[in-house]
Amino acid sequence: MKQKNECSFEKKLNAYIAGELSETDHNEVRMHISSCHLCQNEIRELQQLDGLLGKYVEEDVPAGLHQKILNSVPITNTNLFMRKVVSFSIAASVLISFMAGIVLSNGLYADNTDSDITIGEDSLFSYFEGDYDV
Amino acid sequence: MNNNKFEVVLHNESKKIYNYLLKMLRNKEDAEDILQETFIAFHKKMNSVKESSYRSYLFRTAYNKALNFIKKRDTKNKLVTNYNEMEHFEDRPTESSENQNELINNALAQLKPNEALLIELQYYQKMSYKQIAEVLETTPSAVDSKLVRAKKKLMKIITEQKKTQENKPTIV
Repeated sequence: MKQKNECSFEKKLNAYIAGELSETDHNEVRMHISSCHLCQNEIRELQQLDGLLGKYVEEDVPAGLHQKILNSVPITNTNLFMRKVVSFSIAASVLISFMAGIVLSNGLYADNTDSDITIGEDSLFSYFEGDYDV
Repeated sequence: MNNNKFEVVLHNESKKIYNYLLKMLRNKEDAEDILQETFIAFHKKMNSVKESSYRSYLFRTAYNKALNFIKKRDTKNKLVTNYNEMEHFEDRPTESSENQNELINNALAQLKPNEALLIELQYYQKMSYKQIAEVLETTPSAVDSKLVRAKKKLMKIITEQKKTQENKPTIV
């Protein structure tokens, strides 16, 4: 059994003030409040609490803290990706240059060796053909 | 997700989280440290968090980190309670303090951390029951009943605080 200083609507008052009730419930509570002194007092107290809590003045985040946080987080994926792209490009360039160098030098070497082989082959043929005196 | 987006979230949300931590921890340096830890944790997870849930995630992380910090701090304080008892007492704001923030912080500090979080989210962050439920990982109806209890308790604390202030003798 409910005591005289309690009202079954009391638990709905917070949701009523917060605008969390459906339209039907809201209207029902509104109608009830107009005739219930307990709920009127409760609403007044909640509003007083609202007023007191509303006096809190927000403080700014201390200067430099944002930067400190930004400095403390690792490089983000996008930046990491860009860094990887740049690193890969540099590595690829170096590798291509290196390969190009090898190919080019092989080409020169190949010319020389071809000539050597030719000479050698000639020499060999010459040898078998008896151009050389042994 | 990139650094610019993180910077925007940091810029938009840090003040709210910082002020919540000030209320919870009642110490600027501790609030700064936990704020930093919160955003570092957020940065690691931001790719897997929905953009609409950023604030919920930040508050939940800040709450958990602050709670852990308080537990450690309380354990540490218990070891030196006798020695520091008077200093702690003197740290409390007096009746003559005109600092509303301190009065509110004092009242909120007497609530359980999860009750203080409920008040924070509804009063200061203007979150709906649904949004609060997301932070606390519960249902809107549970939020409602917990809020009702938390507010009752807070009103009682404030009333008692006022009575204590009225009964306290004035030092001339």
